[in-house]
Amino acid sequence: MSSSTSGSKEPIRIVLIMVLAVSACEGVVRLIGGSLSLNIRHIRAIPAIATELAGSPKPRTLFLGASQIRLGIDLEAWRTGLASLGIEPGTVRKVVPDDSWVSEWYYVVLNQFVERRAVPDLAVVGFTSTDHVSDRKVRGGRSGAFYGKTGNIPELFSQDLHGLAEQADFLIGHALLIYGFRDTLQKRVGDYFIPGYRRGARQVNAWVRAAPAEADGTEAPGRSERTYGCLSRFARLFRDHDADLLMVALPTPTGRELDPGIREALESGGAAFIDGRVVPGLGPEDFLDNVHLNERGAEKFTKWLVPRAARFVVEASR
Amino acid sequence: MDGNIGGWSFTSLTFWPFLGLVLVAYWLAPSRCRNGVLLIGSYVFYASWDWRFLAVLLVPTVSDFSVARAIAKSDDARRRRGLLGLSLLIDLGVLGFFKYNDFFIAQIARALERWGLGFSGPAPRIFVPIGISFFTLSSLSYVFDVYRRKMEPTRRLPDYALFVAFFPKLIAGPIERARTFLPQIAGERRVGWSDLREGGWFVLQGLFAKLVVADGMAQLVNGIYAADPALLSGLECWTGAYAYAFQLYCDFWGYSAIALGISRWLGFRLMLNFRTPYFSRNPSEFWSRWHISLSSWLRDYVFLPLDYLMLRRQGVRTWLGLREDYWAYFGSVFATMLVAGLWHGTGWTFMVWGAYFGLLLCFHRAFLGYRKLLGLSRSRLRRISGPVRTLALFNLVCVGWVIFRAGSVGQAATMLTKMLTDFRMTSVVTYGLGLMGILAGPFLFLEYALSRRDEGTGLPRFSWAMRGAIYAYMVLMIIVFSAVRQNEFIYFRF
Repeated sequence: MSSSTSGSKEPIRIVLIMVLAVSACEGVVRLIGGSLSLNIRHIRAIPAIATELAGSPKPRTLFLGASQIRLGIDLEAWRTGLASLGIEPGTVRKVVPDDSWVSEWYYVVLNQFVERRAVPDLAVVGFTSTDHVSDRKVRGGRSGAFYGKTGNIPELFSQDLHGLAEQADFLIGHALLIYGFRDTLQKRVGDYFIPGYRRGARQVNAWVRAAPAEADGTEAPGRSERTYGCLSRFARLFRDHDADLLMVALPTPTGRELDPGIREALESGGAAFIDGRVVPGLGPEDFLDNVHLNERGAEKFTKWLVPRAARFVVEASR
Repeated sequence: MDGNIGGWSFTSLTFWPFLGLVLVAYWLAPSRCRNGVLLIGSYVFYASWDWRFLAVLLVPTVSDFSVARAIAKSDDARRRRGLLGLSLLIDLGVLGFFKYNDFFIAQIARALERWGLGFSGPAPRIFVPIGISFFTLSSLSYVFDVYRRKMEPTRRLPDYALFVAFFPKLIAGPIERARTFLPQIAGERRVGWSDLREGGWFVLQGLFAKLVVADGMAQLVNGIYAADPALLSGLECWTGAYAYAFQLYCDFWGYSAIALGISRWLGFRLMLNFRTPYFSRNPSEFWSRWHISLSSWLRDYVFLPLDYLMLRRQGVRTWLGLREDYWAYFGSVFATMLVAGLWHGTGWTFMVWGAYFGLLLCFHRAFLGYRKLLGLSRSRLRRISGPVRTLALFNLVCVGWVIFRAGSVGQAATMLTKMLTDFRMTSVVTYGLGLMGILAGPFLFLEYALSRRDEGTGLPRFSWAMRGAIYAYMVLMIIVFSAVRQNEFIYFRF
């Protein structure tokens, strides 16, 4: 082992280089993050959406969810469908951060709508998988970067982020966008530099998922062990601010079971539920993949949803 | 980083506040109390994994300390041998009970079942105390060295206890020798600015190797080895082999580097455990650069005694054109590598891996022997360029890693067959090679640069601007590319 000869200023210069490099990358990502990712651009536009909703007349409807809602709800079909029933559609907007779920939607609503006094009259939240609405390990870094604020720390640390690692993840993600954003950065680098990146990664992940669990007595929690504490809090958030929450189970090409715990959690929070898992007239040709509707499917589904959601829109108008 | 990997792993966030507390307490304490601070800290560290493990740690501490003192006091050769045997019995007995019990019970049960004498009921499950393979060998080396009169035994049990339990090296080595480490414990330690700098370099490099390269390869390796090998293409198997080569090296080197760095901050110098091993040119050189603390331990306490024993029993004869010292070497090195395989784990794959490397070493030595017979001079051999030899050896090592990583000998055999016969290109291959290029490529380049300078992996003698750039690159890679889900250090399982 050897050490280089160095003056007393060298360590300071080296630390300065490191700090500058990290700061430069952080600055670049904050500056051009929107062009790197449509999702970031959309997340950055949420405050403007909230402000616009706040200044609009009733009824103010917000569609909230992930990409399944982004692709699965046709706003034009929604408006014309309501209009054909003689109902004023009012202002309708979507907030659909990619790959998000209920614990993140909760803080989006809390920080962007409740705090701006812009709570919509009706929130329609769609999901395809129980994973979207059950209690899952919160992605601290992502929450810190996009959804949570330092003011949320007491609630986050007591309800959602358990353990030093998750809490530190949140704080680092809050301070450094490159940390909170890193899964997207990794995918961008992979897409750009690695041939067959997505296909290869999907195949590898499929092999890992298909592998039998290690025979050491530990098993993944079964469906009956899922909890919905966050979903209950989410529903209560709307109830406490005199807003209506309508949860919609979205259709998928193969269908799925619904955990009764979801309905119980929604009822405890005073939220309504529409089961849209099976929609007459929707076939495999209406889907892009296993979870997303295509354009035609979105139109069909929205037209199916409108009469079932109409009364909620009417109540929201009052 | 993950706070939920068991115990206070170096990549768990809970470890670093503990380290901070230890450093503060250590440097604020009067110098006569510092060893005590370290000893308490080491026991707390070990208890963070499971407090019951402390009892297992104390067994070699107390027994080997006492046995070594008794050996040193006696001049009777038989008594000394008996005491050495007692130490071996206790240490290897404890190691064997915890580490190999499950394996042998399972093998016996399988054999009985095959003969229609199977017994029903669950086999007892014994949890292996973490680090037992490492601290047992460390403690045994002390008794051997006292027996061989290479050192005097220490009179202070707390010093010996600290030698066994020193937390930076406790879980996964390096397997330190008492004759180099005990003087550091007993002597005065100073930490200068260069120690802080070099310690920082080692810690940063270790975190980069583990969090970025090793954990970045993990999902790819796990996927390929989880798949049905009959459905994999040969190139996918090669991809898995290369990825595992980087995962294993960076995982283990990462741990060792962090241990080295932390030790420097405490004023200790641990031995270097790796010296750019993938740039070796022959199997013998590889084993002088890979897991150096283990390979040197096996050389000194298994290979050399066996070799001496075999040579003593033979006259001067020649078989198949090779002198008998060659044949003694073959027997000794093959047996030593079987022991190495057994040390790593209880599956048949580890034994086959050990045998494979044993054969490689034998073939290499045989080749050197026949080189003279065939009149192949060193200069002629050197015409085979270094990079070709390095690449050839790397691939031979990767073949060994396939056996090492496989879940069974059958899986390894299928994969190896595919690697020689099926060259279908798939998206997994391009994905895997691309991932390796991005994550492991720069690390490998740095290793190459250091190997050219023969600096081991110490602080590189680059300009401050270059060093700043390297550190900045590592920090950025850790922030952006550390795997979202961290994995346990691989060598914790051995």
